[in-house]
Amino acid sequence: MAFVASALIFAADALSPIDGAVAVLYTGVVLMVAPLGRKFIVAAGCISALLALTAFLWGHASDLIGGALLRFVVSLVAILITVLLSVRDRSARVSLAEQVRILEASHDTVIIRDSAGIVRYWNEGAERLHGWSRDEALGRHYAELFDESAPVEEIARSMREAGTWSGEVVRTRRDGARLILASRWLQRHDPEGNAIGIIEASADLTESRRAQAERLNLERRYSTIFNSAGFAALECDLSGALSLVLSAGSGDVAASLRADPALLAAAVERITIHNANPAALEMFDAQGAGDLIAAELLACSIPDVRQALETIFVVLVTGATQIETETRFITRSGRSIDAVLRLSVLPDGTDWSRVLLMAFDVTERNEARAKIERTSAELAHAGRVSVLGQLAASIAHEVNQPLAAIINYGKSGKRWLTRPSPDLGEVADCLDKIVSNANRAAEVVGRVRFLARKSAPQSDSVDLVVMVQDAIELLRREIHSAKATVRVEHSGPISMIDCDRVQVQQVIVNLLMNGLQAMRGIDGRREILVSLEDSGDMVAVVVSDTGAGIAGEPTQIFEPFFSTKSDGMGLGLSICRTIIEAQGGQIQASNNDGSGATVAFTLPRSNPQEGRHHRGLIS
Amino acid sequence: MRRETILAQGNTICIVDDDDDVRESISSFFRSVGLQVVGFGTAENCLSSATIDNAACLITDLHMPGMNGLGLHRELRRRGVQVPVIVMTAYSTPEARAEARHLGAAGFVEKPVDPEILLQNVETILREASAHDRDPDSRGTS
Repeated sequence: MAFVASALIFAADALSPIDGAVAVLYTGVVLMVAPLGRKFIVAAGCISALLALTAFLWGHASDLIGGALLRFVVSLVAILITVLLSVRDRSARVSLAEQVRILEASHDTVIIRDSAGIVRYWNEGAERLHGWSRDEALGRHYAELFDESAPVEEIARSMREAGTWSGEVVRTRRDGARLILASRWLQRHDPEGNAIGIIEASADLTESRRAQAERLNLERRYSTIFNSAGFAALECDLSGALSLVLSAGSGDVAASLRADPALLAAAVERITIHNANPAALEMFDAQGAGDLIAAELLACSIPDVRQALETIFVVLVTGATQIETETRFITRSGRSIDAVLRLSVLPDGTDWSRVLLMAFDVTERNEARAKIERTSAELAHAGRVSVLGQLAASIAHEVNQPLAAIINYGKSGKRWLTRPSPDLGEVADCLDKIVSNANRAAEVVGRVRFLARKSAPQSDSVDLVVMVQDAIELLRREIHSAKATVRVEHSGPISMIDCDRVQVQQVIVNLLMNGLQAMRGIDGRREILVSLEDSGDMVAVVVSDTGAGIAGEPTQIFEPFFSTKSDGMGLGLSICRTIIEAQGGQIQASNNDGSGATVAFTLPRSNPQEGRHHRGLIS
Repeated sequence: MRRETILAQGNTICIVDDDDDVRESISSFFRSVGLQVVGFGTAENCLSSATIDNAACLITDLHMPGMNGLGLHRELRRRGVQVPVIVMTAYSTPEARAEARHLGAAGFVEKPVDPEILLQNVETILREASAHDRDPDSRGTS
């Protein structure tokens, strides 16, 4: 079309005799291609100018008279002006179209309404948010499209005075959902300055408000949990402390802390406590979180505290986010508290700047535990005392039996004498029995005296076989009431040994008593086997029972359990060890392969270092 | 009836005690007043002897190896032997005393026991026994 027009204009210009500025008509060609774009406009302008020049030269080459030349120049100027205007118009249109596209593409709603409130523009954002399509919305009054709650008077005043308003409006969507919008309103004016409506652009705040509310709820929930927790909770910043520890050099934090004892205290100085719940304040006797100073609570001078802190630092540096350890705090009023600590590194902090520390007061638990341990030790002591009581009763019985027999024989002898025909044979027999029973009682008393006496160690030449049998005789009643049997075995003769008779007998009695006690409540065979072995230099006495055995490590039975004090006749195994070792021997305990336990001691045949000396003193 | 009459009737007393001296001394005392005495070191020996069936009285220690005094008493009752039993003990407990009473013991004495008191107990038992023996006869003849 443009080409045809150009050709016709050219023909008219060049061939016709028309004496006029025909070339001005090229402006029409330029306008015709204007919608095609800037390049087409410029090209059309250039071609038109060339065609006009060609026609001019063709028609008027011979006489470049003033009139024709003037018309040609006017035509060229007209073409140029048209090209320039077209280009400008074109770029204005392009930018306008872009603006419209931006409006359309915006997530925000853009609504333009006239002064009567009729919707004149409704973008895609408005379609999406309000639920009305553009076709439905255009031409309707905006109040038909949504219920609105907005500060009407404030808007009116602001629009009147400044021509704009921004703030929040609450609207109801087409489907009834509630929307919170951040809205900006702009007054439209006509060229005369009259208000002709409003442009409003709004952004949906509903989702961000909901998220905000949720965040607030979460924070409230956290602070409720934090504040109402029954255990102490503190929010601490350990970043300063840890950066100090890390800056101390080598990657090995434990080594750094060991190398410089002051480092730990300096690190603790840098721990800050942001927040503490009421339970924490109560635990540490503080009024407010400001009273809580880590360096005061965690006194590095206390070894327990030091160890716990070292553990915490070392483990935190490895990247752990949960640590549990036990330590001791000093409260503001100076009380000492045992506490189980649980540290959680919170994810919102950086470099241990937010650490939640929970502390559980286990002071009472630990005290209760200590009390139980004390009580069981006391119970064990009471048990030992009751063993003593039993032994005493047993010995009293051993003495009473011959005394009763003596009385009986005495009265009986008198009867035999005072009969009408005295039986002197019976009287003599009674007197013999009185003597033998008195001897028997004296023997018992003698044995007891050995046990009870706390004399300085003395050395005698002792036959261990006889000593073992004496001890068994002494415990006859006990053995009997325990329904047990005691066997003594020795292969070949046993040498006499040099030892403190009384003390070694105490050991043997003690081992037998222990064996009897261990077999109490055992259903099976109750037998104690005492075997003696002579290895030349040493004599071993092995006491083996069929009882319950030793719970735990057998050697620990020689550890002092309650006290090393001997209550008259009773002796703990720790004293047995002391006695045996003092005389150059050894004592050992082990559990048997089958049932029960074995305690064995050895004594040297001669004990020259002490024994002779004592004997010399006493004799 | 006078004491001599009762004691002279040749009643047999059984004594069970594991302590030889105690048993023999009581035995000697009773023999000195004319009673016949048979001693046993254990309850089992006593039960296996025929003497017990005709004994006028049994004196037994409570604590003994093997069967104890109460066990012996129970076994005798089970066998239907109605001999009066005196229990002696050095370790008296309320339980043992109650059990002895339950079994119908004629006496429960604590050691060391004065043989004179033991003898009085035995005399009382023998007197009651002879009275009991006479009464059925008198009823039978009337």
